Amino acid sequence: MAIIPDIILDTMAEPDSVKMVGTVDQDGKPNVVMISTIAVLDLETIAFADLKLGKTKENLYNNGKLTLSVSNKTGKTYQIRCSFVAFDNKSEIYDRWFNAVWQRMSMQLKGVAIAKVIKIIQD
Amino acid sequence: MKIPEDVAEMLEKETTIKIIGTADVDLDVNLEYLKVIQLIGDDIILIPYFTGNDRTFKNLQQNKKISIAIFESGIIGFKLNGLFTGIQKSEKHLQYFSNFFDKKKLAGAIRIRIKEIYALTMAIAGEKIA
Repeated sequence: MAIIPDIILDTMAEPDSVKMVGTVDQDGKPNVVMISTIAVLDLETIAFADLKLGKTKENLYNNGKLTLSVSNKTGKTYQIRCSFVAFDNKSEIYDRWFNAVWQRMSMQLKGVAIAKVIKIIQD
Repeated sequence: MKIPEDVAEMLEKETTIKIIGTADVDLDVNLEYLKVIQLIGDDIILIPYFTGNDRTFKNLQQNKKISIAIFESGIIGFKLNGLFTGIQKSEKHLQYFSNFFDKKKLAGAIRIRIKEIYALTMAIAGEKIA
């Protein structure tokens, strides 16, 4: 396990930062999508919203491997390699995000993906 | 397959966000932020690779599959899935990328054939475009 350093927390907090998640299927085909809502639950645990995850969700259930990337507006990118834990739809963060996502995007939150941090890669 | 015009425009625009996803044989995914992509054919693109430990290039030598997410303003976006088909080291192709990167660090260009394109725009995310 690893912990998320301050520099990544700061970058995540920047309004212009770009957050992506990459997963892979069993045949090695990668899948990259953007994340609209993300939070650090503790320094070893990340949560992100499932609004319309299709292939990403399938890949996570199949092999549990994911990489999150956070880039600032200059292109400086950090990668957080994680291990998928579960999709949650019962906790306090789900309730809080459900309302926030609906107000912001008029979309229904399907769940919250929880992942444990394995490794940090600073490019 | 021909890359549609609106996707091609976004690919070549410097201001769009481009994230390249590759995976190694252990299924660990590497994501790389890229400033420029060059379109050189109906379905062929070039991306630069660099001297030293270029993880994208290293992964593609083990596993030819690649996924590229492009979007602008955080709203409109596409996902392009493709295959690594070789490298280009000709002066002509390197010249383009040397306008953006230090020529000493530039090792060559990775040639990718795009096989399928999906929408990433939230309202229609996942819809096949080409």
